[in-house]
Amino acid sequence: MGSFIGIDLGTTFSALARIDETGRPVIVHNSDGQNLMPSCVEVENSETVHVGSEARQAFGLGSENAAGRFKRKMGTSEVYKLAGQRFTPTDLSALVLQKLVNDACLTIGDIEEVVVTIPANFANDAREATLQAARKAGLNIKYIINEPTAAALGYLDRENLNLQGIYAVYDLGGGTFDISIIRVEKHEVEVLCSSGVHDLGGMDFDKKLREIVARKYKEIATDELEPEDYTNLEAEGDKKSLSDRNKITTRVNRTAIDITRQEFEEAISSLVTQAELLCESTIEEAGLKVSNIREVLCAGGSTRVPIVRESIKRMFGRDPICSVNVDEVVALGAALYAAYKGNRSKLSDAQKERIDRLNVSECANKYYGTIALERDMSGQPKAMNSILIEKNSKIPCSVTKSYFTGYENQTAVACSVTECSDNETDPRFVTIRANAELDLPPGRPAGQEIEVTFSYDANQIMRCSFVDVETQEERKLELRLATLEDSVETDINKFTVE
Amino acid sequence: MEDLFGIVLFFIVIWIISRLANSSSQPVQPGIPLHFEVNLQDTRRETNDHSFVVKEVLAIGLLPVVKAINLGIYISVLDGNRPVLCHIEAFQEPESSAYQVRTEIGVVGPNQGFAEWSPVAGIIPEILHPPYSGLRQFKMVIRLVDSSNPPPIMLGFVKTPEHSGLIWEKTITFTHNFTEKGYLEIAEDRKTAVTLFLKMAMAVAMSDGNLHKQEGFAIQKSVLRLLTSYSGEEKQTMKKLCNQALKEGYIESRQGTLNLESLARSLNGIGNQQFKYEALQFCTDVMTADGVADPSELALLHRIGDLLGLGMQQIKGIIDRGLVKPGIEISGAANPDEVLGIDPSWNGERIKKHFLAEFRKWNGRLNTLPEGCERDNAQRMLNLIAEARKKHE
Repeated sequence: MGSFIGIDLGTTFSALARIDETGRPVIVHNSDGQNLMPSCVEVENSETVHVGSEARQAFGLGSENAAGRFKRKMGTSEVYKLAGQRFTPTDLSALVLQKLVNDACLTIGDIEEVVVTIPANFANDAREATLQAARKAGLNIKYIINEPTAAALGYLDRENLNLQGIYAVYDLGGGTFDISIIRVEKHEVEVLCSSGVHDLGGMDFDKKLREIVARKYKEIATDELEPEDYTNLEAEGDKKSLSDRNKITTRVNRTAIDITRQEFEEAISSLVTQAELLCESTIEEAGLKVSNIREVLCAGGSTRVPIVRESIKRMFGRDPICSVNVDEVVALGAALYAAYKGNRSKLSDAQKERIDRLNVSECANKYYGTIALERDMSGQPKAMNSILIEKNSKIPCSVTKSYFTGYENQTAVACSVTECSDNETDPRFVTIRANAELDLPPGRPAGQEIEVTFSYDANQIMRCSFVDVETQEERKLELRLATLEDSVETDINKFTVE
Repeated sequence: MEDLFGIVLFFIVIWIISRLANSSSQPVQPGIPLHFEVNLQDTRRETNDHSFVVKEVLAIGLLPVVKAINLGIYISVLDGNRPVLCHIEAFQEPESSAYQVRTEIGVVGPNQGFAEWSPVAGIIPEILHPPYSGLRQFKMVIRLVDSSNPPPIMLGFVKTPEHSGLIWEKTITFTHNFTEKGYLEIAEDRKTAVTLFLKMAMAVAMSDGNLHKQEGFAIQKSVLRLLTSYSGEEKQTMKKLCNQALKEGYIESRQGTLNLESLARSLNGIGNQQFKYEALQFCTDVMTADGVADPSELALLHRIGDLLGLGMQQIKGIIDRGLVKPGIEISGAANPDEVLGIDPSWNGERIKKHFLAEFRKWNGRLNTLPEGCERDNAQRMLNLIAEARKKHE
C-alpha cells in the first residue's frame, strides 16, 4: 500500500510529510537526515545536478551555477542559466520535488498520492506552473492546496489544542505571506476568507538587513558592498541571530559591523505593516472583527521574528499559537489533505478513522467574471469586468446573471472568463482565463438575453456556460483552477540526479 | 441614446451590419408594382424597460436592375449639407465616422422585387450624432448599390455620381429632436476646453517650479495629437489657440497667477463630462512624462479632479492608470498621503478604511500585472501605503 504525502514546496525550504499507520501526519526526513530541504538547485555539468543543502551552499556563495528562491518566479518567463543550460522556475521546482520524493521513497517506499501546497495568493499562472512542476517530477498529483489551509489542517490534527471557533492562520514564509480566516467545528475546517501578498517573506527581511549592512559598510570601510562580501546565507543567518539577540556583530572583509535588533526592526517595519494591512483587510472581507478571532495559528519560519510576533499580538490582542513546528505544519496538513482527497479505499482502518472525520471546505480565492460593455464615467460604452463569483464565496457555488445584446442583428457575443484578486472593473487589471464566442442568429432586435452561469465545484473546477435564451444555443467553458486530472510525459530525466 | 445604453449590459460583440428583416433578403417573385418605391415607417421597439423608435425603410415594387447583381442598400443621413455622424463603428462609413448603414440584399435579377411594402433597412435615431441639437430636419439618402462594385461614399455624398455601382437613389426627410449637443457645438466647446486644460496641464508641470524638458515634450505631443483631428484653416486656428494657451499658462504659472479654480469653473461651465476626464488625463500624462510622480504634482492632480467635480474613485482611476505606466517612478516618500489622495480633513477611521481599500486594490493588481515596470510600481504603491499607514499610527 502506497503512502499519501503532502509537500510544502517553499521559497527557501521544502518539506515532505506522510500519513503514518495511525492516520497522523509525520515529516519524512530527507537523505541528509533533515526535516527541511533547502529549495536550491546547483547544476555542476550536463549530467550532475545537486538539490538541497549542497546547492544551498553554492547559492549562498553566489555561484552562478546555483539557483534558489525561484518560487517567486513561478509562472513567469524567467529563465535561469546554470552551467550553460536553461531552466525555468518550473524546471527547478520539478527538481526540488523530485529530490524530495526520491529521498522519501527510500524510507517509505511507494507513493500513492501527492498534494503540493501553494500560497493562497498565487496567480493562476503560478498555480499551473506548480502543477506542471509536479508533473515533470513524475508525481501522481491531482490536487494542490493553499498553504494556510494546509497549516490549519496541521493544527487541527493536534488534539491537545481542541480547536473550536474562528481562527486566523498567519503564514509568513520565506517568500510569501498568506492569511486565512477559518471556522473550525470539531474536525471540520471551513475557509471563510484567504488573502496573500506575493512578495513578502523572509527573503525580503534578508534584503533589508543587507541594506543596513551595505550602508554601514560604506560608512566604516568607505567602500561599496559587493554581493560576495555579504552573502544571502550570511544575511539569513544574521537575521535568525537577531531573533534571539538584541545586537550582533557581523564581519564583512574584516570590517566588524554592529547591527541592533531595533535597526533591523525599523528596516522591516514597513513590510510588517503590509502584513497587518492584509490581516485587517482579510478580516474585514470575511465580515468579521478582530474580536471574533479566537486565536492566531502561525506557520512559516518568518513568524519566529520577534517584531512579527509583536505585531500579531498588537493586532489580535493575544500571543499567537506556534505549538506545531511552524516550518513543518504546512507539509503535515498537506499530507492529511492528500489522504482526505485521495482514494480512501487504500487507507488502513486506523487511517480511515482519522481521515473520514475530516471535512474541509474552501472558498473562492479570486473574483471570477466576464467582460461586458457598460457605460463608463463619461457615459461612453466601455469594456468592463463584470463579476459573477465573488472572492471568498463558499465553494461549491453557482451564479447566474443575465446580459443583453446591444444591437440589432448582433450575430455573436464574446464569452470570456476573467479572474482578479480585487473587485476590479478595469479589464487591464484582470486575467482572461478563457475566451470563446457564441454565435447568434441574425435578424433579431437588440436586448436578446444571454444567460451566463459560473459554477465552481468542490474540486475547484469552474464550469461556465453562456446561453442564448431564445434559441438555447450554449457555449461551455471549463476551467480547472486547482486540480489536474490528466498527466503528460515527463522530461525531467535530463536533469536526473545521479 | 443615454437610456438606450443604460439598460443594456452586453458583451464585446462582433458587430455585423444590420440586416433588419429577413424578408428583405429574400428576392421576390416577378409580378407586382413596376415602380420601385421606398418609404419610412416609425416602429417602436422594446428592450426590457426601454423603448425606442426605429425608422424602418419599407420598399415595394420591381427592383431597378437590368442584370443580375449583388444588391445592397446603403443609407446615409444628412443635416442640410452636413453629414450626421455615429459613434458606433459598425454604423460608420468605411473611411469616416459619418453614419452609414449597409444592408446586403444578395444576388437579384431583373423582374424581381417586393410584392408588398417590406422592411429592407432601418435606423435608430438615438444613435445619430447631428451637427446641432434641437429639433432637426434630416435627409435620409437611400441608395441601391452593386455591392460587388459599390460607389465611393464620403460624408454622405457619392464622390462620383456617374459611378456604375450606383443603381438608384432617393432622399426622404424626417425630423428628430436631439437634446444632447451636436458635434459642431461640441467642437466649438472643445476649442475653449482645450485652452483650459492646456493651462491646467501647465500648472501641473510647473508645480515644482520648473518646466522639465520631458513635461514640455509631453504637452507638445498631446497638442500634436489634438491637432490631428483638425485640417486646413481650422487646424491653423487651433494651433494658434493652443500655443497662446501654453504661453499664457507658462507665464501665469511663473507669476503665480494661474488660477486653477477659475479654469475649472470655466471647464465645468461647458457641461461636458468627457472634457473633464480629458483634462485630468492630459494633466496625468504631463505629470508622468518625466518618469517621476512627484507628490506635489499628485496632490495637484487630486485638487484638479476635485475642482472639476469628479468623484474620488474616478480621479483615482485616471491617476492610477498613469502611475502604473512603464517607467514611472513614484517619488516623494516624504509625503505618501498626497500620492494616496488622503484628504487632511479625514478622520482616523476614514483614513484607515482608505488604506485598506488602496491596499486591497494594489495587492490585487500586483497579482495580475506581468513582471516588469508596471508590477514594480504596484509593489511600490504597497510600500507607500505601508509607509503612510505607519505615519498615521
